[in-house]
Amino acid sequence: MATLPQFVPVDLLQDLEYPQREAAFFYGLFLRGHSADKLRQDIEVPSAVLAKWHREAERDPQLKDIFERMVDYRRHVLAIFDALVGSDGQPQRVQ
Amino acid sequence: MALQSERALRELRNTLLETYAINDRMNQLILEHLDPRAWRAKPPGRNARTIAAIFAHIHNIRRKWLRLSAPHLKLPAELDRTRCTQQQASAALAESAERCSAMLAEAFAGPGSRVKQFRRDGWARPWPAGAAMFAYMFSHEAHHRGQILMLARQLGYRMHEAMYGIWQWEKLWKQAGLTSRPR
Repeated sequence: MATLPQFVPVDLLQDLEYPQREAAFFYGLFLRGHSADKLRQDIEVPSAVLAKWHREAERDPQLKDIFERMVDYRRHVLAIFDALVGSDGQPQRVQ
Repeated sequence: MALQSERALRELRNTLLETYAINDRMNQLILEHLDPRAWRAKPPGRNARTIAAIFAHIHNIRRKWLRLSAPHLKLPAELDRTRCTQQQASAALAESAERCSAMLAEAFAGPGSRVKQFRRDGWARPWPAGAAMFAYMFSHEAHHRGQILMLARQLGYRMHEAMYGIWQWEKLWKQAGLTSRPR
């Protein structure tokens, strides 16, 4: 496993272990009437930020691992959110 | 002793809320003194935002903070950066400032508050709602005020009243309708 930069707080990594909780937050906003597309934009890391991270990781390879984990996490949150919302944008029945 | 520190804390919260009120008063002051010809004037440089687009951005970012951090509050309408007028921007900013003040008041209310986290961006790690949230919100707008004043000057519009007015906090306090003073 790659070593993470020392400045990365441990609790940040712990946060990345709960994508369901994060997706549930956005699903709650969807149920309040916010548009699913807008919320998808909120969940995803914007391309300008991704490009910046990419440049930073090239300068400091130690950052590559954490950035990859953060991007994977956001993708995971988005996938869970999409599953909750359903492909037609209608909320799915949750048990 | 406990009562004294509770009073000090309440006073600090009130001062932060009043400071947030004068933050929008500064935006309004710039809008009041801005030559309408500067509103959509093309800025120098590629992909640079117009003054109209910067004001629209300030309002729309407040909407995002409200949407993500205080979803129970009513959202003001979005501003169209390419079409909004100075008057529409002024009214929209006044409304979003009022809503953000309500959000901050709840954030400072402590346990039981509905505003528990500040989500400055959906993808970013949320912060516990509190003083750093206030500082982030204030500095975001101070940054853009500086940009706007610099841009107006580059475009050939002098903004002396606004440029000095934003530093006259005693006056801003009064203009914002507050009966207290900076402290």
